[in-house]
Amino acid sequence: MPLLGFKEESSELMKFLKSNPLLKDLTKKELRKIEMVTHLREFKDGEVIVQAKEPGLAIYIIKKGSAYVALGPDGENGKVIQMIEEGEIFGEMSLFEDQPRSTYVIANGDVEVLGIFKHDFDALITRDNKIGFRLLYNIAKLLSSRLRKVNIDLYKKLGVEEPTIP
Amino acid sequence: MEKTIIIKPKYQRKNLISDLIGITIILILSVSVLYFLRYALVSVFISAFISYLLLPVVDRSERLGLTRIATVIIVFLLICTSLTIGVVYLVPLLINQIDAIQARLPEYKDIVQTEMFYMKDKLYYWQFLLQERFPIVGEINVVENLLNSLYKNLINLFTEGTSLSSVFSLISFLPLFIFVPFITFFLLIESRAIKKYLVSMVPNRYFEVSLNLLYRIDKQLGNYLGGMIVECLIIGTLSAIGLYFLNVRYFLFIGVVAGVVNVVPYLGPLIGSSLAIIVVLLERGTFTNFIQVLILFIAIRLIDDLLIIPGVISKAVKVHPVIVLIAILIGENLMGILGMILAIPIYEVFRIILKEIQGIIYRHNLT
Repeated sequence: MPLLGFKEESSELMKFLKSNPLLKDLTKKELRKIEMVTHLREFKDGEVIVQAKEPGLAIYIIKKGSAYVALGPDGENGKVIQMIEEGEIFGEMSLFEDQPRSTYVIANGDVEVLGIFKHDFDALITRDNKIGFRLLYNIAKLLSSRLRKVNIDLYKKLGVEEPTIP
Repeated sequence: MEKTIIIKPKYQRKNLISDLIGITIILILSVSVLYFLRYALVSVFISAFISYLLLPVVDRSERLGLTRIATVIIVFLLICTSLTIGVVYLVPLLINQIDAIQARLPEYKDIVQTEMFYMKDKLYYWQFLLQERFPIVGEINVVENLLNSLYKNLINLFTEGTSLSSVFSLISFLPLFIFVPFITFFLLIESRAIKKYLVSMVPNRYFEVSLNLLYRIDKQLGNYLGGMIVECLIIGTLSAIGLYFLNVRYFLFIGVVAGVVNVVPYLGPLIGSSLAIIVVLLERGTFTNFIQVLILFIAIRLIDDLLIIPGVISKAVKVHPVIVLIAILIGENLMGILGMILAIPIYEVFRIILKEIQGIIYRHNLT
């Protein structure tokens, strides 16, 4: 018997989590554990979701819409360095390093995101090995692909030819 | 990808000021509503407190694979069993001791009256000696004033003390016995939904900050309360056992009181030991009894300071003694004994919140 009427919201969330590639191979019970620690937030167009210099305390998954990543010099103008689309995660660097946020993430149109608090995430992956392995493995894959993209950009900027695998 | 956008930072001086004013107003309003409804909400407060204490147990048991409801039911059954054992074995003994103290109160009153009579003679003699050297002492009439006020206070204490058991019957426990378990049960089951609901009401820019605040407050309070309960249990048990071996009457009653009042820093241990010493004096104990009880409480104090506090509550609150005393005085003034108990946890909550706000201001140069 839900006290505050969360049931409908929760079943929609479960559907979304199930369809997310980051969480594939997880059972319903395991997804329920993740759902328990997620917070649904709605951001208006142009609203700052993550701000540079702030302590990184949460990881986010975009549920609906997309967002810009910008360096935001002095908080006035920001050059968009990347777009984050529906189903993708951001803020994951804060999970591994106790460093302040390095970029701004700004809502591109109205955006719905799922936020997971850093300490809830830590507790989740340490208590349940399978969830922990699956989540960390998928995040590592994602970080690796993002690093590859940065490398390619760097090659282009430096005018160096990309090394090709023979 | 060469697009440039305008970024409005989350924290700006003007929205921070309006937010602070808003938060303060909401805080004052909710605290005053809770304060005015405190008698009606007593069972909610007690349930919230009990479920907060039980939450780690339920969370941990849930990880074993049981559903939330099953876990809460098992925890409830375990508590009911231990409470029944406690009620069957310890409560009758405790009630006997309280009744015995009550029956002897008139006798104690006589003892105090006689003692005061002797004391009066002695004091007058000293006053006479002083007067010979310093004639001004006689004019102030110190002894008369001092004794009168002391006498009045003591007799009042004993007359009020006679209504000891009526206090227990006055507070009608029945509604509490029904409401508290009921509310606690649902709070435990819905704890996550309640937390999510509270966080969902926070504006976006404070989302991460609010989660961090809840986490830090929970950690600090959890350590403090857990440590406090362990400390009180150890102090209460040690006092009761020690007093039992020293043949002090009402050992269980004094042990329970010493354990409970230990919650109040600095003053608690003083009250516990004073109670034991007063009982020894009123029961016409020997000087050796008095010294034994004194040594017992000094030993307990040392065990507490050297073993329990560093071992159990070291991670919890470290507050300057002066602030502790001020907080306790303010707590006592506002809410009596409950205020004294809650003073330090409430101080800690405010300290954590202020530190977080200070962090935001400094990080973004909003001063």
